[in-house]
Parts: sequence; structure tokens; C-alpha cells
Amino acid sequence: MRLHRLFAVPLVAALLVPALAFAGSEAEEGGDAAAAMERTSFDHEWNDIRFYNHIADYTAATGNTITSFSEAPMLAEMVAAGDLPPVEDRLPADPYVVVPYQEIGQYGGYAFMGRDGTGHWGEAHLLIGIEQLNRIAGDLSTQSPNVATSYELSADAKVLTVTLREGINWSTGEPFTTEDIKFWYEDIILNEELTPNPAKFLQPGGELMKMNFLDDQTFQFSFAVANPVAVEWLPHPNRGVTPIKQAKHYFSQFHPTYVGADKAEALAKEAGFENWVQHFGDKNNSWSELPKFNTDRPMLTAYRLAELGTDLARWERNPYYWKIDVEGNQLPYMDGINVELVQDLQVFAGKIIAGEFTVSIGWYAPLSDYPLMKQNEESGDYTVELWPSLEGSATLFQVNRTIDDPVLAPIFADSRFSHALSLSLDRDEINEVVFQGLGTPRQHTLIKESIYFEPHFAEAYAVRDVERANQILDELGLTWDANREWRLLPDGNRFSVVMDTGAAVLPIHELAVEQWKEIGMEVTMKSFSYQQSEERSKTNQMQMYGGSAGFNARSEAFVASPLFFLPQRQGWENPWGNQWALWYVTGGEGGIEPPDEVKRNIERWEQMTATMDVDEKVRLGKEILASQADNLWVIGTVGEVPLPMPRSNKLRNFPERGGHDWSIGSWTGPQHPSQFYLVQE
Amino acid sequence: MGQLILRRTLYMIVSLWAISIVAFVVIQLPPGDFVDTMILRIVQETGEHMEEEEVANLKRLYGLDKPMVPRYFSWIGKIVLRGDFGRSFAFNKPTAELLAERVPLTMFISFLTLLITYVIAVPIGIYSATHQYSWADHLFSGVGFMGLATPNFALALVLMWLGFRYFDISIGGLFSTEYRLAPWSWGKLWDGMKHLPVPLLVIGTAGTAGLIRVMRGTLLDELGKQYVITARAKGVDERRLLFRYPVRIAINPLISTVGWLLPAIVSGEAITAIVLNLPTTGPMLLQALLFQDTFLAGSTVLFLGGLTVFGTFLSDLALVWVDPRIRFERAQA
Repeated sequence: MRLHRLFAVPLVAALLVPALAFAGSEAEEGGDAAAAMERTSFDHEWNDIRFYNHIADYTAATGNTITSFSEAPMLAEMVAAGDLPPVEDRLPADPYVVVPYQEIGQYGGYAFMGRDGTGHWGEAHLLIGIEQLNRIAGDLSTQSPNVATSYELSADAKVLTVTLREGINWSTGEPFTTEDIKFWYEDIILNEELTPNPAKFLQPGGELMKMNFLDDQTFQFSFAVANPVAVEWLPHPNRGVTPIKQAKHYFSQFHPTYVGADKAEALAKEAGFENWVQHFGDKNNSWSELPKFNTDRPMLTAYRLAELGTDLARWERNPYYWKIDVEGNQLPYMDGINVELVQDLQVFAGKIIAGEFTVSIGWYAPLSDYPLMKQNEESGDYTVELWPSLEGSATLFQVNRTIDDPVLAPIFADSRFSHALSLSLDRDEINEVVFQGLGTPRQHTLIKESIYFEPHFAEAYAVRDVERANQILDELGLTWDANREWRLLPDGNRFSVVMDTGAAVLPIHELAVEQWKEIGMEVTMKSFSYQQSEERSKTNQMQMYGGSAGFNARSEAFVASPLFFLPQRQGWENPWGNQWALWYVTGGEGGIEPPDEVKRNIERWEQMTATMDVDEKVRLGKEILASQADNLWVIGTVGEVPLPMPRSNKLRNFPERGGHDWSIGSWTGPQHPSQFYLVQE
Repeated sequence: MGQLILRRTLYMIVSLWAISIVAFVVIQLPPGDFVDTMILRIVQETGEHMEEEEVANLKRLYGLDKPMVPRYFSWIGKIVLRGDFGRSFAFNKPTAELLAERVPLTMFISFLTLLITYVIAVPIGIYSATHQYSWADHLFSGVGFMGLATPNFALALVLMWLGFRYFDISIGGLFSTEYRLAPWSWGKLWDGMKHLPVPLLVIGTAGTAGLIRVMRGTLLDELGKQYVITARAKGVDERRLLFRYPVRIAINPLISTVGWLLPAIVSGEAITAIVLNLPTTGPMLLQALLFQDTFLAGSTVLFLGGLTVFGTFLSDLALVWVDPRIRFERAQA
């Protein structure tokens, strides 16, 4: 029996020393090292903000203890006025202890941020963070406790038992227990009206998972087949949050099981909805933690949405937040966060360099504005730092190898064609023009910190060699036309293909198309909406695709979803093995049977997710990535591109470096946003 | 007159119905819907890809799984029967509430701009026409053309920078952050006043310049006409003559376009408002269109369309009242 108790005291102690050393020492002991070893191992330039799962752990590590709790002045006033219970009653008896990054913070102040008005408020999570069952630790890789204090995967990997922290309250003051998780499972997932088709990941082995609720703090996920990958759900920014974000005491008032079908329908009609499902969905309208527009909704996060106007949203501190600093001060330090609507990006840049914002996220502070931001650091009283994004490649190019076209199909299916496209790309030029030379020209594979990484994966066909590219195209029978300007297809027509570019044609697409002209390839670009792209992919109309790679270049994300390396989903972002994916999802009934190499990769991945043997897992993962490096299923361009992170000098305890990646639990999740504070005058 | 009003009211209802169809259908012509844009945004922000089942569930929650025709009737039915304009997907609020939040401020700014435009433009237009080719006329014309030619958003950016650099006024917005969500108070009013000059100046310049040219042109036409010369020959006081006859006629084009001003007052100057970050309806409509927030966009367009129709109706009535020639023609017909 192998116990995966990652959160035992040795781990807490180990977090005080570099994670690599931890991984090493554990490896010698064997056993528990498994889970630690398979992860991405970052060097320790990353800020590791320490924490203690229990006060006792803090005492054991430092000899100090925490005997009393204190709170923000605004909450103390409310307590004095009798509007709020005292802080001891609001906190768990044994709260989560955070060691502030720089110093103990000062209470008070509102942070100020901007957003460009897209119906999303994701940027605020830079300061709010998200609360998953488990957190990703400061090394941006290992799991550590959060809402859950411990978990255990059974030896056959069919049962995952999770224990919640005792005494956590919702922002309304009601206790948070397994009852809330039971509500999610029984009244949302098992409710056929709310969830007619549960997501596939909830059905390993084709059967919907079961859940057992042992007591107020302990529950189990139980699967029909071995499902060790379920452990990756716990720190996942969506899967690790979804089960714990529906407060039963609030949501049951809209649910027919609790108020009766007639009342639920009547309430929905009264609120202007057609049926209770829409009403319920409106109250619970969030797919992940990102959009949450319901100000009444009970939260577990450090801040809750207090007001939502059309040009300003305000988050305020959650008086029931369940984390404290090492002196017993209840977190968060800041009173709240204001997010202003700034629709024009020029004005956004103006506000950043005027130092108006406490912090801004990368997509509002593009790399092209970095010199401007750097120039005005002093006058605007802010600091701008570059945070690496954990992307394997900023934009990927793909050739649809299962295209329904007798002339193009044999060419596209030949990996040598992708080699030629890759060899003719001038990645240095792309890097200079688009990314100010700050990215890394590379082939698409995982980031270099990943345990599955090998340097030659990133080097494969990634250095420009036009001569070799031309030679390959000659070998493929794509002859030059009379003027030696364009290549001709075997049927005598000019070689000309359309590349889908997603929502917009970007400079990187234009550069690539220019560079491909040199080897006689005529590629035209067309942008399509998400839905059009999805349709074009499903109906196998896409010839080529150039689009974002997403952030699945960390080990954990790769194991959870090996998108781009396998034709596993017939989506718009992954059209290279379109009909092969259809074959895979329909169990061989539709689509086209993939070649042996692709089938082998699918088998490798299936073995990877089922095995508990880490060496085996790494070996299989590297085989999949080696296959990518040999065949270039997708063609990478420039990766590991940093993004600017401008922050006010008044903001303290904020990390100098982090990962520009949502999948680590909002971008700053590993650094405990609740311990950020504003210097008070 | 009564018959005229009745006939025009009937026309108005038919036009409104046509506008409602166009508003609802045209907005949804671009492929994709709100859920699609939301998913795209989630992918951009997080790199996470949703499973098909999750997408289907979301579409059902927003009622986007039904075809357009039943959705149109459900929307228009609620408006007619209950005055319910639907909910905005993006703001998760009733559309009416969102409009109520933005329309008053928009109208305030627009009225003020309009007032300033008229107060400046009409006298200058009259002066320029009566003192044609004087140095002052040349100066006003020059400035006027510059005002017409300068793109508003560029002027806004420059003024904003000047305001920030030399007067320490925060960039964009009508209120400072501390007053943004606060209820009305003297402090908030004063704060708003401090932010007002830039938007008024920017939105006002183009309008003023245009109006001066119109006023000057029509008045010049009138001044050369027989009846002016006759009146002058009969010894009518020059000032009395000017304001009694030619100015009243020259002002006609201004009145006949009042109908278009009503929606303009409510929608505000969208581009300028976006650059200046004003909490008016223009930017909200643009955003709703970009993100396929069907009910918000549809209801706003319907609302603005309704105002145009109603405004045209009003301006027709005003014309009948101001211009005896039109009144006379109607009576004849």
C-alpha cells in the first residue's frame, strides 16, 4: 500500500529548504518521493512564500506560537458595534498560517486595477487569488494544502480521500463542510436538468465517478477504474475549485429539491427567467473561478465582489477569511480592490505609466510597451518586472494531416513537409520583431524546467536552413514554376493553402507567411470566430492553422491534457490530426484510423495516466515528446516569452518574479495574494 | 394638426417594429454568440480548453441553444407586455438597470455640450455672415476648419495628457476613483466638474465648427435675397431686420436636425467617450456589440432607434410651428 500523504510534517519542514533538496532527500527514502519527482522542478529564483498547514507546524518549525488573533480596524469596528462575531469565532480554531514574503503587512487601503471591458474580471485574481482544494506551492509545481489539509490516493488509485480544514466559514458566516460538496455532486452534477451531460473528466472508464461523504470534513472521489490523475484535480484552477464553490445554504433556495418545483419555477419567473435552470445558472454563473458576477454569492476567497457597476467593480475583504500571518493577524491586509473599466488600450498604457494602477496584468501591459513602462518607472512610482510565461511556444503552426483532398493529403501527412515549414522559419526575426528579442526561439515542447524535457526536443528543426527546406520540398515532388517563384503541386496547380489564424491575424502570422514565400509556399491568412473555427475543424475544412499554444507546457498540465501532442480532441485549436481524433473519440467508428506512430502515442499517454510508477511515466512522456520532435505534429516558433508585470511601489509583499500562467492557480496564487499589502501613510 | 399627429404615431409604431427586428437580427449576424466570445476569452486568459459538454451546458444556461425566431418573440414579447428589456449576459443585470445607470449622465454631458455648441456657434455664425471676409470671419473660419478636421480621439488624447502633466487630473473618467461608486454629494459634484472641461471641449469642437459653417452659409444666402433688400430699402432697423427674418430662416436646418440630436444626446460621442473613459452609453453599446451581449445591444439599439423616430416626430412638429411655409403646404395638401 502506497500512501500519498504529501502534507505530512516533513514536507512543511522541507518547504523551508529548496525544493530540489527536498525532492532529492525524499528520493533516497523512496516511497513518497514518487509524487514529488514527477513534477516540474523550478530552480529557486522563484519566490517561495512559506506557509504552515497548522499552528502546531509553525511552533514545531520555529519554537514560536500563536495564541491570539487580531483583525483589521474596519472589522474591529463592526465587532464593537455588534455587527460581526469576534475574530476568534470567525477563524477556524487552527487556521492556515502564511509567512509574509517581506514583512508583516499593514491593514487598510484599496488596490486599484483596470480592465479592458471584455465581460471578464479575471485580472482581479492577481490580487484575490483563488482557493482550490490544494494550492500550487511557491516552486510553481508541487501541491500543498489549502482548503484541504490532506489527501490520500488508494493503492489501486480508484479512491481519492480528501480531508477539509475544520472550521472554515463562508463569507456569510455559515460553516463550510462536506455538505456543500455533497450539494454540488448530488444536486448539480447528478441533476439531469442542470447537468444533462457531465464533463468527460468526471467519467473515467466511461462511468460517472461516485462520491462518499464520511463526515463533515472527509469525502471521497471513487472511480470505476484506476485514475491516479485525479490527484491533479486538487490544485487545478477549475477542477479543484468547482466542487467547493457552491454554498448549500445559499444555492438551495433556488433548487427544486429544497424548495419544491413550483416555488423554484415561480422564483425564476419572478426574476425574469424562463425556468429554474436558467435562474440557478445565473446565480452560479462561473465555469472556473473567473467570472463571478453575483454579489450575493458566498465565497471562500480573501475578497468578495461587493459592488458591480458598469464602469467600476469593487471587491471587499471577506471577514471570514481563514488564513492568518505568523503574528496571528487575520488576512487579507488590504480592505479591497477597485477595478476600473478602461476600454482604450492607449489610455490603459497612459494610466500604467502615470502610476495609477496598483498592478496590471500582462495582456494590458504588452511587451511592446515594456520600454515605455521602464522609462517612466520613477515618475510613475512603480516597478515593472518581466514574468516568464510558462508557454512552450507563443504561436503554433499546424498542418491538417487528415485533410480531405487527394492532392494535398499525401503531402500534408508526410512529416517531412512540416520539417520544411519549420526549417524555413526565421525564429530570430520573429523574436526580434514581435517579442523585443526577449523570448526563446524553440520547437514546441514542454518548458525546460519540466521533468519530461530534453534539450533536443526544443532544438528539433528549430534553426533556419532554407537550403535543406527547399531540398525537402524537391524530394516531395513540389517543383518550382517557370519563374522559380512558387512551388507547384503534383497536379500542376500552384501550391496555395489557406491558414486559419483564429480570431485575428497577428504580426507573427504575417512574418511566417513572408518567410514561407522564400521556399515558394503561398499561404494566405483568414481569421474566423471561435465558432466558425470549431466548425471548420469539425468538418475537416482547415488546411493550416496558426494559433495560441495555451499554457499546457508544465509537466502537470501535460499529464492532465497532452493537447497538441496527441489527436485527442477534435477542436479548433488542435486540427492537425482532425479525423484521427474523431476516430479516437468515437472508438474507431468514425474518422480515419491513425498511423501506427500516432496510435502508439495515444497508448503511451493512456499508460501514463494509469501508471503509478514514476520512472515509467517519465519514460512514456518523453517518448511522446520525442515523437513530436521527430514528426513536428505542431510547429513551434518562439516560447518562454516574458510578460511585463508593472506594480506600484506602494504594494509590498508582492513577488519580484512569478509565473505568468493561470494554471498554477491564478498568476500569483502560489505567492498568497492575501498577504500583499499597501503601504499606509 | 390632430390628423397629422395620429398619422405620424402610426408610422412611428411600424418603424419601431421594423427597428426591433433589425436590431435583434443584425446584432446576431456575426457568427458566434456570447458563450463563444466568453470561451475564447477564457482560453486567452487561462489557456484552458472547455469540454464540449461544458460548452453545451453553458449555452443552455444562457438560453442560446434555441433558434433565433423564438428568441426574438420571447424578447419582444417581454418588452411589449412587461416592459422587460432582458438581461445583459456580461453584466448579469437587467438591461433597463444598466441603461438607467448611464443614460442620465450621458444626457447631462450631451445637453451641456449642445448648449455650449449653440451658444458659441449661432452668434459666431451670424457675425461671420454679416461681416463676411472681415479678419474676424477669417479667424473664425480658420479655427472652425481646424476643429472640423481634428479627429476627436486625437484631441482627447492630447488634452488628457496635458491635463495629467500640468493640472494633475487623472487620465480619463468623469469621477475620481473614490467618488465612482459613492452616492451624490457636493464633493462628487465638484469632482465631476473638474473632469468636465476636457470632454465638453473635445465633443464640442467638431459640432461647433460644423454649426458655424451651416449658420454662416444659410444666412449669407438669405441676406442677398430680395425681401431683405426690400425691407432695408423701407428703412427697417438693421438689427431688427436681421433677427426678424433671415436668422429665423437660417436656423431652419438646425431645427430639422433636432430629431437626430435626441439619439445623439443619449448615445453620446462613442469614440471620444471610449478614449476619455466616460461612463456613457456609447462605450457600453460598443462593448455589448463586440461581445455579442444580445439583449443589452438589441435593447440599446431599439431604445436609440425609438428616440430617433420620436425625435424626428418632434422636429417635424417644431418645423410646422416655426416655418409658416411648411404649415401652409400641409394645409394645402
